[in-house]
Amino acid sequence: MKKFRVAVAALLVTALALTGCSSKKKETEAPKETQAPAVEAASEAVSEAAAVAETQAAAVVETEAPAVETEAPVVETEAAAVETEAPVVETEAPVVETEAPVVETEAPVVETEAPVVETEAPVVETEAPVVETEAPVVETEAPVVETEAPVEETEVVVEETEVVVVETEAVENIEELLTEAEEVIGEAMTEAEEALTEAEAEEKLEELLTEAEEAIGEAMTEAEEALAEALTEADEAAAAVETEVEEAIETLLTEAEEAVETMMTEAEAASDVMNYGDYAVAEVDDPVVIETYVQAKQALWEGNTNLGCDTATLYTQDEDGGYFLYDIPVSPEVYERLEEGTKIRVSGYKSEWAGEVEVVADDDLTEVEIIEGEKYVAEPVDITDILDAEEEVKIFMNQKVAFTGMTVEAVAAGEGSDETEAEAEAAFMYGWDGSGSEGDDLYFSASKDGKVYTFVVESYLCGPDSDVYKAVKELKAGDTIDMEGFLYWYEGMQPHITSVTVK
Amino acid sequence: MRKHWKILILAAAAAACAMLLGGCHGGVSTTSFAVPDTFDEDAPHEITFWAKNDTNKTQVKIYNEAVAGFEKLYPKIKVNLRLYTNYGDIYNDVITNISTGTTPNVCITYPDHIATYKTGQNVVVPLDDLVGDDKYGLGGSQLKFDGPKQDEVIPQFFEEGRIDGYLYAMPFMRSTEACYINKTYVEKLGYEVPDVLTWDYIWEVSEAAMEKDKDGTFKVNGQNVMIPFLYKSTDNMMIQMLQQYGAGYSTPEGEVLLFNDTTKELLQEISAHARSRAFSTFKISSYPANFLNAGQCIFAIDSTAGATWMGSDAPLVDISPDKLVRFETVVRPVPQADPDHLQMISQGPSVCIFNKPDPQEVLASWLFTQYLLTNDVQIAYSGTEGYLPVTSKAQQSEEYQEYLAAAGTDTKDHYQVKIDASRLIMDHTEDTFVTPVFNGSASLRDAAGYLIEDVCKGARRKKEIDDSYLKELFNNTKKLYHLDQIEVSGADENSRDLGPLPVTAITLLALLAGAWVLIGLYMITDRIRTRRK
Repeated sequence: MKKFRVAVAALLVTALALTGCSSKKKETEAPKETQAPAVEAASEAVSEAAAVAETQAAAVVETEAPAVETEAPVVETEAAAVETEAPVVETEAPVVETEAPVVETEAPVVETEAPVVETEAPVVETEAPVVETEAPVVETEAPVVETEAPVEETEVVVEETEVVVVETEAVENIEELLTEAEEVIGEAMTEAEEALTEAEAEEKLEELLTEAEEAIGEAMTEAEEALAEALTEADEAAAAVETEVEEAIETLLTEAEEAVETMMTEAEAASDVMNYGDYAVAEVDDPVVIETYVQAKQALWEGNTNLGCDTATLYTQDEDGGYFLYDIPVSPEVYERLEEGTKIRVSGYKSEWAGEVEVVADDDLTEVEIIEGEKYVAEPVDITDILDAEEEVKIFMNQKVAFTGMTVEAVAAGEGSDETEAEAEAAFMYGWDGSGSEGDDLYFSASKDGKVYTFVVESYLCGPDSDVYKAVKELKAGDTIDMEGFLYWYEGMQPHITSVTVK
Repeated sequence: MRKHWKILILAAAAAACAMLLGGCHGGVSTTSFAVPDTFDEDAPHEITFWAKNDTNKTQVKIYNEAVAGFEKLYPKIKVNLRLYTNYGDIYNDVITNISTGTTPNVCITYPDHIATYKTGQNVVVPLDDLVGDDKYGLGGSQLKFDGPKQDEVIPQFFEEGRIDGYLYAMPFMRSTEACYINKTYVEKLGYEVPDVLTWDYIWEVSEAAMEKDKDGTFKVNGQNVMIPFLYKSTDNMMIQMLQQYGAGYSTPEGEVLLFNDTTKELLQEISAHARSRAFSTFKISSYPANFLNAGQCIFAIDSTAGATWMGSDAPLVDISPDKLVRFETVVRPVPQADPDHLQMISQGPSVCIFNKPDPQEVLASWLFTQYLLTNDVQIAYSGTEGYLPVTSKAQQSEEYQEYLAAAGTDTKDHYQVKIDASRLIMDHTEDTFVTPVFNGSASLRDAAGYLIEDVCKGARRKKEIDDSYLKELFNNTKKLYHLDQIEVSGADENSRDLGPLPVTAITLLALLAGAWVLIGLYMITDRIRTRRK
């Protein structure tokens, strides 16, 4: 733009300079007044010559070059206003309806409206300078030559000799005067002829006109060049603006697309979330995404050497079933926020270890995500009456369950055991066979209708300081107890007990 | 307060300098242990013994008996037993307690772990002087029990405790891995069980066992579940395969050779069988013994120390009786690359002693350690599983020979599979090998197993296990186990471990370092003051 302005200024200066040169008036000086001696003949001749000269020089030549007004066309360039409106994407995940249980999952409707981009390119108004060229007015006035022969009065002497002498001197004087007059007249005539020649005037006029035309042509050329330059610059400016606008639009579109994609992904993720029915029928090693509610947690394993990240094992459940999350990536910060009832989203693989169906970390080690809002704390389901039906019990795997009216059994002595009296009376063992020590898992047995079942106080869930750990250590064979816990599985039912009440 | 900070900083700097200087010289101690001339039996000592058992109450009982027997001989020494059921927990606890100066006195461990322990200053006691001591060493004159002489400890096992030229561990029990085979199913599939299995053989039979009936059950067992080949310790699997195929694993100096082309080929092969579900691992599925005993596995590879869990008549069972299936169990060495040149890993617990300020306490610890090598303890403990006593004195004893001869006479103390497993390592002691021990060798071992676990999971999850996958896996594994941080010790003479520096030298060096630090601090302080002015 600056360049354009400089060019226009230069053009103006040039045009003005050119105009100044060609409009300067050319004035022809009138010849000097010449007064010849007064003799009749000469006077007549002079009068005659003067008359001719007067007649010829009468014409005043006034040549005025036509005013050339060049006005460059006003260039108004207005870039098209670009209005881009990204398509409104409305994504609505299909409603998943599963017969038993009926879970309706409606992914959030994602409405993404990309911002309307209104870009108006600047209006470029380029006005070429008005070039006014006025050709010079040439006024040429031929000099008025007035020649008056001198009137001399000579007294005639009677004497003949004197007369002769006087006559001779007079003749000589007259001749001299005539000669001088002739010379003056000749010069004047020459000058008049030169000055007053019409052809010359015309020639001058043409010359001036030519100069004026050239000046005009030059001015026009420069004006055109300036105009062209201005137009080019205007085009370039418009193109630059257009490019910028396009880039801005492209960026916005990309961002909008990414935002839409993210929302789509989230929407898809939301729609990928399995209900318990889907999860239950998924194959082992299939990827799974679930939303569930924390019921209890084992200790955080910072820097799990098997995965290279912090992990935790969680007991979780929704209204339809239980999910055991084994070594799931979770940061210490999130772990601290995992309270009973907290809703979480988990991405992982379905797995099975020794009969226990669980969710393990996915390939990306996706962390547990807390979903703010609703909470759910499961009520324990009493499964005492179905304990002898393994397949029925299996349905409650990983859920919060209760056992009522169970009878504590004495622990079985290990092979070749020479257990002490205290050991023989104890109704629990450190470790499955008593090979552990304080702080290890506690194993104990309780029976119902003559069948004995094994129960565990998992030390990572309920450590030595917990009420249940202490309570189990106080159990005596024959005690009648109620229990609550989570239905863990290891080659069969092996509940992780969280509370024991002796009746 | 500021003064205190200065003192602390100076002390820390001096300590750091001393550690650095000491570190240059290998295992360094300001209180290195020297064997006392005599042991003061009248002075009371209380020592702690961290023991590992195989979740086996009988082993616990034997430990307790060993403690009681020792305390009877040395009534002023009180031994506190703390029980663990896996090496990992002991390792982690020791590491934690090194920093607080509360290590146990005696500890069951692996040489790989000792290599890490001894990076601390004089944490672990070198045993060379104790072993050779006339009065209290192996077969020493002042011992109150009939312990083995040095030449009665199986030399191969004895040398396994040597790290950087020094003896840091005594062997306690030895085992290897064995393949427990459901011979009944192998023959049902139309194969014979050879004396030595090859990898080709085991893959072929395993794939054959995957054939199903029209009803979707497996032909060989009629069940819905069949994992023909299950491996308990995949780190051992990789290590033994590399050894058998002559591929690199590591150098004694700590150079990691694991990530090589042979490893890639092995992983491709293994993953192919994991994809078909003919092969799985403990970490993915569960204990091989449980599947074997339920008739859902044909080849179960586990330690000989897990023999009591294997087979229809196994004394220890983790599945309900109604799930047990009857079949004939045979024990073979792990599959081999070259059946004429067997190679199998040597493993099993060793014992190390942690240093304490009181040399008498350390000597008491050593006496107890030796007591664990007596025939009574060795024979009793080896009988709990498919272990092998580490002394020829025990192996050749009449008692132990009778024990072996009674194999199969019952399904408890003389359970056939268990004694077969013990015989396996006894017969192939010369075929056993151990991997180099260095600071980081425990991580390398974990990494070896991780490679197999990862490709198996990947294959099961329908991933393509190709070159790019393996390349990424190698990189991730190196990072995960910090293998790029292992310092390779120089193999040349100049960098050879010269053993502990004398205390006076350490003190002098520390003083020199401290002086330099003080000079430096003075100069810095002076410059700062000058600038402020």
